[in-house]
Amino acid sequence: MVREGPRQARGIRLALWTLLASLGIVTVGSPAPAGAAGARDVSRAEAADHECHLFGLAYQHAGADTLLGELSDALYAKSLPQRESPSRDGWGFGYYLRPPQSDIARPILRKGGAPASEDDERWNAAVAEIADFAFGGPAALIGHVRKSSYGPDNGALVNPHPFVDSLAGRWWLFAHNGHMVPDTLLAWIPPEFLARHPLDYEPIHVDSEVLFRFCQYEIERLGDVREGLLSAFHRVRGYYSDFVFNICLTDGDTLWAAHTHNWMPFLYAPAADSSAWWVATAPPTEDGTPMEQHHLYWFAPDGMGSASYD
Amino acid sequence: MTSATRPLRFALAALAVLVAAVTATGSSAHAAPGAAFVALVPAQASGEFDADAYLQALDGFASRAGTHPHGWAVAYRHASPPPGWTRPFVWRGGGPAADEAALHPRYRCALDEMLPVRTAAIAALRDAPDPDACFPGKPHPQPFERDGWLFLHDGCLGIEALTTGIWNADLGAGWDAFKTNHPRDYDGNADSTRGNASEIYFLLLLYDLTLTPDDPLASFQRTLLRINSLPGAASWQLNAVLLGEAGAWVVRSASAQPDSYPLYYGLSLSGEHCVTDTLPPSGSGWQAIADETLVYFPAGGAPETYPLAAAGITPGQPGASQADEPLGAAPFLAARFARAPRALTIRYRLPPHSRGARCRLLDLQGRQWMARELDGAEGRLHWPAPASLPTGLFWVRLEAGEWHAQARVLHVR
Repeated sequence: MVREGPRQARGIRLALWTLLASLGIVTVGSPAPAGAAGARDVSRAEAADHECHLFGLAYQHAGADTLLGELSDALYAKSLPQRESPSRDGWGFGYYLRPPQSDIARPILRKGGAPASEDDERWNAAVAEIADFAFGGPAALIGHVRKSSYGPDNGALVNPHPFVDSLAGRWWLFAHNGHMVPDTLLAWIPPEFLARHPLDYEPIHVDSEVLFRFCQYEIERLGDVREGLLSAFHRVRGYYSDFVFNICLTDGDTLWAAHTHNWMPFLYAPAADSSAWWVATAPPTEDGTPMEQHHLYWFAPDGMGSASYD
Repeated sequence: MTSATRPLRFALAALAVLVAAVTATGSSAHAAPGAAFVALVPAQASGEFDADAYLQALDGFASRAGTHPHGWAVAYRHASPPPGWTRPFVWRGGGPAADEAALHPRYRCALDEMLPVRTAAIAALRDAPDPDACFPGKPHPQPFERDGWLFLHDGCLGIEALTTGIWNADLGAGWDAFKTNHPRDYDGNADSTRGNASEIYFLLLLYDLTLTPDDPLASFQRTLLRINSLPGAASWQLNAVLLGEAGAWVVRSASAQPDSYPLYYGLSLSGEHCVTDTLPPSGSGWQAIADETLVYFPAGGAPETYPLAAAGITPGQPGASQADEPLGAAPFLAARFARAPRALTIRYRLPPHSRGARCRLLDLQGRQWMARELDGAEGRLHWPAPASLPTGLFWVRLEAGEWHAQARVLHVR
């Protein structure tokens, strides 16, 4: 296989951004960019400005709702406008009902399209709902604030994260910080798999959703979550040196997290009573441990582990 | 990939998205873009219509995914929710809810979850009415969910008129506070020509409901009067369903195209009022809702019909002139193609002291299709499109000395 070098990659990104621009951007009072009208190139420096933030929490019981408050407060702060590069393209939570509701196996999503810091009423209601309905038993949940890089409407829509889909009889949540080229990933997923697990965002793709599908595909192909994720991230990491990602994935029992990102640390720590684990790009405390580059971590109330996919 | 193949790949990718955008627009250009929906509300009696079978069958409601391929949603109130739970459950997805062979897998799961436990529900498919303003390829935004309400709009509205004439207008002291607590999810990044106009319709109604919470009829009347006073309203449709704990309020207001936006209701086998925009093939006793009428379906009660044009209702602040107020001092360009007659409508304001302004319509390859000089510092143009102008994406470029602005427009023949 011929790998894409940085120059080719830049060209592909330029093309994609041109398409996005042609479908959504109105430029006012600025010179026309080189190349196609309205095109934008996502340089590495600019990509650093296109950062979402996310957290994951795997827990055993209700005491972890204190952590939920701290994690969500830290996430909320990332949407405040006074930050240099705030994450203001929506917010989203995904959690599982606990105790389980027998007729609702899938996770519950709470999302908005406005910046979290300008959507206090719904944000607070969402956090309160999670505190009330997610901690009646062991489970995991994910929170995310977005700064759009790929996708429709230039980010002016409900946050696509966390994504949700079923696989192997379980419902999965996925959230991502970073950027990659969705078309490259799409080419790695057989159409038959995509027919069974359709994308929600077509034809303007959200890169994170396509990465989620690739992870699902690899999990199904190898028949094992850990092996599937290691395989998926190994291929993504090896293929294209400036794909970056911090990822949370959960089936409601175990929280998986992956870190391949040079400038956005991803930290983890146990709760004080060891009944929960959190991972976050916006850590609530200073005692988190930075994840190692190119490592997959897994967390469950009874312990954690990690492995390299380098 | 070699440098020689890069332009080809770019062109193919651009073509794919262009075709997709044009296809989406083309499919939305059929008689009645908007929502295909089925709403279920508890009734006092049962009828012959098997709503469960209709919703699950590939040749039933799902067959409408062919004309409404831009997402699906299932929202419902649960008969036995977790203790303390008060809001509806909502599933949304992008793409068609079904193809020729099967239901979309997550849509099928959503129906499987909803049907056995619902007390009231809405299933909706989308034919994006204005792909230029709000891109079709994403999960169905409707029914919107706020403050315990579900709201579904079926029809077309003008986003720019609603943004400038409603959302950005001064509706009184409470409006700003309401907007602070109810930001738009689809706000077009503050571009008045982008965003979801149905969401503004809902938020305006919700705002009025906060003023008169016990009188949804009056809120609907005031809301419709206010929207109908905006420029362009004569061509819009305002059919809507508002579902709350007490029941559903269903509005039919489609005078512009009454034949294309009907509403019907009948009784289901499981004892519900079933409201829909298309007469199902089975069942009997369906009744059409008359235009400019609101029908209230109280949960467990008989439907009540009210005229929408009630005496003594006024829109309050502001007047209809709000849509024509200047947007502020900053220079701007807003452009869009009207479908009938096919014409490019442009609003603009140049920077101070600008001279020799020119406006051009260019295709994505930079070819010029239309051009004219502008003689005012601000104004409007209504510019008939040449017969040879093809379907596709174009740039409107406004130039005045060193300053320029451009806006992307979609033209559909």
